Amino acid sequence: MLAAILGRLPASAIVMLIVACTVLYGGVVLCIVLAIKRKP
Amino acid sequence: MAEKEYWPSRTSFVLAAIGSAIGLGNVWRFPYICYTNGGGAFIIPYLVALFTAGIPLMILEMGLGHRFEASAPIAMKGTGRSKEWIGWLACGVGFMIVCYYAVIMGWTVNYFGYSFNLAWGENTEAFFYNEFLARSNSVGDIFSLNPPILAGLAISWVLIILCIWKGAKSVGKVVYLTVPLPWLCLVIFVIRGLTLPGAEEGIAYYLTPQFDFLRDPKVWLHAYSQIFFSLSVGFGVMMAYASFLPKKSDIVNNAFIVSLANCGTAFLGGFAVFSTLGYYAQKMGLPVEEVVDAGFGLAFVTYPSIINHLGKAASFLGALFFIMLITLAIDSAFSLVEGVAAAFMDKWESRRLKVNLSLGIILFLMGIVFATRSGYYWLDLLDYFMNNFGLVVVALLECVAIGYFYGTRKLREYVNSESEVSVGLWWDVMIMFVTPAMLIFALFTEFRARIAEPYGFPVMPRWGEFVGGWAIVVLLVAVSIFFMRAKGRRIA
Repeated sequence: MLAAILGRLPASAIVMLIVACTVLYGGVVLCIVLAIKRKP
Repeated sequence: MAEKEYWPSRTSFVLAAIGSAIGLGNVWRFPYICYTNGGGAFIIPYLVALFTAGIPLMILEMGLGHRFEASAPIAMKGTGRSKEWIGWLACGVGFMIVCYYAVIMGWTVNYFGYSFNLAWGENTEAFFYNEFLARSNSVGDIFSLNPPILAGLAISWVLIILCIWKGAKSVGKVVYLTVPLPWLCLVIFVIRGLTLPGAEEGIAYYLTPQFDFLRDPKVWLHAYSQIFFSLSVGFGVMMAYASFLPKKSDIVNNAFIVSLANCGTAFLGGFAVFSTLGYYAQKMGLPVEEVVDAGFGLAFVTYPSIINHLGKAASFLGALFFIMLITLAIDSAFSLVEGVAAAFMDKWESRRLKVNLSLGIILFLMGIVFATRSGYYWLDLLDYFMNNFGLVVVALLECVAIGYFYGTRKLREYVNSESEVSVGLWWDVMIMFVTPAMLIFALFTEFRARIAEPYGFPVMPRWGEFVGGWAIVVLLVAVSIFFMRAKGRRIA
C-alpha cells in the first residue's frame, strides 16, 4: 500500500513530504523532549 | 476577590491550547488550500508563514497573558492604558465567531445522528441544502426556524457550558478526551483511506508540487491567511489560557508545541481527505479534481457520499467521522467562550457560574438567526468578515501595540526569562515588520475585493453585506471602546 502510494509520487513530492514531516512532527517531538528534560 | 485559577498541569494547558487551535478548518480547509495552491510546493510558503507569523504571534499572545496574568483586555491594558480596547476587540471577535461556530457544531451533532442509518441518502447535496438546511433563496427569511438545527444548537451549548463549568479546572480534564479523540479518529481515517483503491491517485493530487505557483503572491497570501485563521490567535484565547499558567512556565516551548501540533494535524488531515477523495473519484469514474471540495461541501456533501460507498462499515465510519468533527469543534468553541468569560471575570470580578451561564444563554439566543432558512447565508457572511477583517485587524493592532509602543524587547526579555529556549532578535523583526506587512497585505486584498463586489453575491445583496458584515465590525469596535471606558475593579 505505502509502496504503491510512494511509487505514484514524483521525487519532488517525496522530498516535500519528508520536509513537512521532519519540521512539523520532528519539531513537536523535539519540543516535548526539551520539556521533559526540563522537568525537575 | 475570586481565587486565581491555574491549570492542573502543564499537559492540560498544552492540550487545551492545541484543542483551541485545531478546529474544523484543519480537516476541511487546509487540504483544499494546499491542493489549489501548488500541492506539495505549498508546504514551503506554509512553513515560512508558520515561522515568520504564526509562532511569533503565538509567543506574543501567550507572553502577554502570562506576563500580566490576565485575559486579553487587562493584558493589553498592561501594555498601555489606551490599549485595553484591543483586548476587548479580540474577545468580541471570538464572541461573534463562537456564535455561529456552535451552529456548525449543531449541524455535526445532527449528522452524527443521521450517520447511523445513512439518512442523507444518495443525493447528499440535495439532502444537505434542501432538506437539512432547507435553504431559502433569499437572505430575508430569518423568521422561519429550522427545528433540527435549533435542537443541535441547544445540545452544542449544553456541551460547551458543561466543559467550562469550572474554568481551567474542568477544561483541564475535558481536553484529555477532546484532543486525543479526534487525533485517534484522524489516524483511523488516514489508515482506512490509504488502504482504499485509488488512494494513491488522491495523495498524488495532494502532494505533487507545482513550484511555478510560488511566483504568485496570492499563494503566499493564502499561506499566511491559513496560518492566521488556524492558530486561534487574535481571539484573546491564548492570552486567557496563558494567564492560568503558574510562574516559571516555558512560554516559547509551549508556543512551538501548540503551533507545530496544529499544523501537523492539518497536514495529516490532508491524507485522510485526499486518500478517500481518490477512492471516491475512482468509484465514480471521475478525475480527482472534479470531486475535490472544501468546507461545508466537503464535510456535509462529499464525505457523506463517500461514506455511502464504504460497505458494511459505512455507519460506523460515518459516526466516527462526525464524532471527530464534534470533538474538533468543541474545544475550539469552549476556548472562545473561555476567552470572553475570563475577560469579564478579570475586569469586574464576576462569578464564573454567572458569566458562563449568561454567555451561554446570550450566544444561544443570538445563534438562533443562523438556525433559520436564511441562516446559512448570514453564517457564511459573518464567518468571512470575522476571519478576514476582525481577526486580521486584531492581530495587526497587537503587533503595532507591542512592536511600536510597549516594546518587543521588553516582552522578549520577559518571555526568555521564563523559557528554556530563548527567542532572539528575529522575533522583534517578525512582530514589527514581517507579520504586520502580511496582515496589511491580506487586509488590503480583501477590502479591495469587497469594494468590487459584495461577499456572497448575487444571493447576498449590498445591504445584507453591510448589516451582517461591516456594521458588526464597527459595532465591535464601539463596544470595545465602551467596555474600556467602563469602570472595572481590577488594574493591570
